Amino acid sequence: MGLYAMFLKAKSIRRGVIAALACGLLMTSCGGFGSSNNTAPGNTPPVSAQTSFRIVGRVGTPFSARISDFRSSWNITGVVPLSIVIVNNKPPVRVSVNKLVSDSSLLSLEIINGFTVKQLASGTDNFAVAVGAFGHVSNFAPLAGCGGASSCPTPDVRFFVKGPTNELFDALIEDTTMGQVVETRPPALILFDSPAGGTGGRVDGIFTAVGFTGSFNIDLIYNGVIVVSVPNGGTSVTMKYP
Amino acid sequence: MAALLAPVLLILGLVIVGGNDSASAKPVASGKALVAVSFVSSFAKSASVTGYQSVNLNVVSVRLNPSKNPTVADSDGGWVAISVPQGIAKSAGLSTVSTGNNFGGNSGSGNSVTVGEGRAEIQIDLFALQNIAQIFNAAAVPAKTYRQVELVMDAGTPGNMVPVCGQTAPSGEGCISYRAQVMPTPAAGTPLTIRTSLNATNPNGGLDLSKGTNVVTPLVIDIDPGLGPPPTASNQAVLVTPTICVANTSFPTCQTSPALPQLGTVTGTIKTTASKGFSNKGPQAVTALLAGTDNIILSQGLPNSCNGKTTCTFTMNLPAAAVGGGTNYDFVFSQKTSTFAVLSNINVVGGMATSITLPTVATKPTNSFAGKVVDFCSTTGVQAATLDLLLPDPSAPIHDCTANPPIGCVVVASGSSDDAGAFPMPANGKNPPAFMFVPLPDPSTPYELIATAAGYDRTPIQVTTAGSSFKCSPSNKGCSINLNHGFLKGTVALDTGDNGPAAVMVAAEDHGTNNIENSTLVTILPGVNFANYTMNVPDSSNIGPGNSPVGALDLFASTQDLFNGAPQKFTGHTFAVQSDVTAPAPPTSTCNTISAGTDLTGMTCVGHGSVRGTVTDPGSNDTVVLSKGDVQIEAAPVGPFASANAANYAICAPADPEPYTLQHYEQATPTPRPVGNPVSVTLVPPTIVPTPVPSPGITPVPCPGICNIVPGTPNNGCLICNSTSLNF
Repeated sequence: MGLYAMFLKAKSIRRGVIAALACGLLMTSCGGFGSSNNTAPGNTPPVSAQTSFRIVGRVGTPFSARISDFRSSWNITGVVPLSIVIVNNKPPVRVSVNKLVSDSSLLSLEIINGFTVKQLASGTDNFAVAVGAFGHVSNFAPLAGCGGASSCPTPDVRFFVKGPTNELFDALIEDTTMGQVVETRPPALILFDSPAGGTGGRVDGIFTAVGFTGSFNIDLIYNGVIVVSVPNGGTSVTMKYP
Repeated sequence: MAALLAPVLLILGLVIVGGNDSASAKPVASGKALVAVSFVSSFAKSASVTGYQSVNLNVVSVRLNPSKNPTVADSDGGWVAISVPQGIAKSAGLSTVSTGNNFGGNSGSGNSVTVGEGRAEIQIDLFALQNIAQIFNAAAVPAKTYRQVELVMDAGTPGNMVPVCGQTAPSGEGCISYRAQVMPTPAAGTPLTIRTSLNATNPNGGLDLSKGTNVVTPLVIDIDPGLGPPPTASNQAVLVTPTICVANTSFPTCQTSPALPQLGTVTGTIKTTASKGFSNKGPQAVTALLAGTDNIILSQGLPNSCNGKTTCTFTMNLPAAAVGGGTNYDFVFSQKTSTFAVLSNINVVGGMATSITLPTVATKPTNSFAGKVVDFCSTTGVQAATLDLLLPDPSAPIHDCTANPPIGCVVVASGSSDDAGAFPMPANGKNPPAFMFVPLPDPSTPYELIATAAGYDRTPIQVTTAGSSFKCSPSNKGCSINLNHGFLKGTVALDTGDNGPAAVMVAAEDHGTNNIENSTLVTILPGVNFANYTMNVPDSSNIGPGNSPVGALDLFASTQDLFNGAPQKFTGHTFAVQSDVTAPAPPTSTCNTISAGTDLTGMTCVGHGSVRGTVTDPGSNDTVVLSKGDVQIEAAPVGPFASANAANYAICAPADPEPYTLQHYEQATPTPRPVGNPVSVTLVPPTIVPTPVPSPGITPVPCPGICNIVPGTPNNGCLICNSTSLNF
């Protein structure tokens, strides 16, 4: 019921998608959607609200970012706009974003928790830096995937949803022990923190479009390598690795 | 551009130009008119403005209401909203308008939010707006006369401010971010709106859009944050009382601000050889960009009245400086199945009218254009590269599209590469991707495709016609673009006795300039005081903004410190700098590496410092640049001529015992020019607040500080920074 209430609040999710998503949720251990875990299907533990970041400003501005929660951090390169979501997030989170161009264009960072923009920071200088945090933070956590080191027990798992641009979508991101649902719009980068409790293993993602404005274009990036790429995936995509 | 888009489009489909479409020139719905909202800031009601380094407000939308009642309820059904640009600049209406490119990328709208999106809003840097207006967004609204104008802000997080260091006690720590609190503070759940009434003093006042169905009507909103004094304690909020006024109606509500006209009017004429004349049924736009860049300022369709005609006249209202030489623009007309028409380097002056005539366009097939950007050394894709497609301006006396900046050329389309290096980024069914509708070039006028990415050489590629498609030269195959670079390796270190954890940003810039080429964030681990870094940098053949090879780089490093558990933009550790590092040689079969050694050392906690004052003879878009050891580190805006904040500047920097250098720059077109001689300044060190001595049953808690005083010194408290004043 809580999930449905949130959907209604969102006002933009179609009933069919809701039903499909609900089925997906029931098949998994639920959680997610950011608020509380009100579905109470049994022993599902509550999870942290969905923490996401949106990098906005002058469209096309390149940037690099370091994003960290309590366990892991990620180095990211992209262009404005980009949504970033941490799945299996463990707050607090810290982020540092800097433009990769010497001009006066605006780079603005929004930290979003659940439905609410919690913090904004921005800059217009050459290679301007915008920093933010959600919660009382310390230093950046170690890089997911150990920064590319061999024999790292915790992989760096990312789903890069490149298109269709601005399409509202829902995604169920799973490992072998749990799953969480996220909702955002492309271009979006979904970071999976510590799959299977940090032991790695198989991961998958099930993506469902809401507005049907085009075909999904998604890459699954595992330890820095694009291992699955779906360039024209219709309005529903399932991808898994290995 | 057609293109221009560059930014914009990207992802969003942006587009425009060139195809793009931004302009999807859909006719404006019957009974609607287009209004383009611009923001400018002033500080006439902010007596404490000189006490701040930055002032940011979080804006949700601008609302208009035709009601004659200045106190009409916020819940009134007559309000119409021009919201933060969604995704890419939003197009609306009839003659399509694509604006707000500098404030784009949001999703969601107004109060309708979904998980992971929050409310669509954008942070507005008021110091960046004080020199010249910036277009916020445009929308098609019912064609009426509007009398009430509202700025809707984020009620929960209305903004944040960074004060400089205090001049008098008591004062909170300076150079950290403080939350803004609007006075009077609205009740929980109540919208935060700031209103001005156009008919408050004159019953005939209003923004008349009733006859504006064929034009884009500008609306310039001046925002004064009403800054209260800087906090006297580090846990306070900054109290603000924002006000707005409208500057450009028949009966403006602004009395003394902005001091100068913010918009220049451009009247243009364009002709087509198409027998059926112009048509806005397909992507079509006239786009204005800052000269020599891909920075789209305004993109709009031709008026509906031009449909079916072979000669069209249009009007654009563009932000432009009123003093100091105005602002230079490039113009592009683009339309599906049409040639581009470009005009470069047109000077527009605020408050003045300028006439332009674009070259005649002709019907021509358009095609899509795609490719890949590749790292020459690793052969992997280059992510987040920017690709600008340039076309020579036939009316320019000379053109060199490979020059930096381009000479006599205009960016007609632009896009970015994705995680695999492929370009353009995908769009969706409603918005075409960048480079979607590019006319095949004539043999005599090929395009120049300029690929840029942080840490790589700026690389021009010639694009010509091959049959019904495009051909890139040089290219491995298709349009695969190799970007050269070198590697820079070195070590950053804290001062002796200081250890991590610490996050350190290392930046490399062209020697003697503030043109940063790349940066990297490295982590110094707990218990050690150094970290090694490696980053890509352009090689010595890279052509810099001065249109000559850049043979040397300057480096600087700064820590990213926390204040009370919150990361801050301004560091409390000294900067480490290294000047005149020879750039790596161009690659042959492999890329070359240079070692910067261990000179980026000695970063030590000295606390914040700041310097503020005035410069002589300020222009309309000037800056003050702070340097250490001949390495330029940061720049701050100067209050514009004739404004309430005229000539003022304020810079936060660590209170290094060694002197800095300040230089006043005039932002003259095309590149900044130094004004006067550089001056030296040593910042006043912070005050040490000792931690009280423990007493029985009481364990004192040190006050929060930007960094920990280095162990081994006699200091055992926290630091509260002090202000330095310097007029020059």
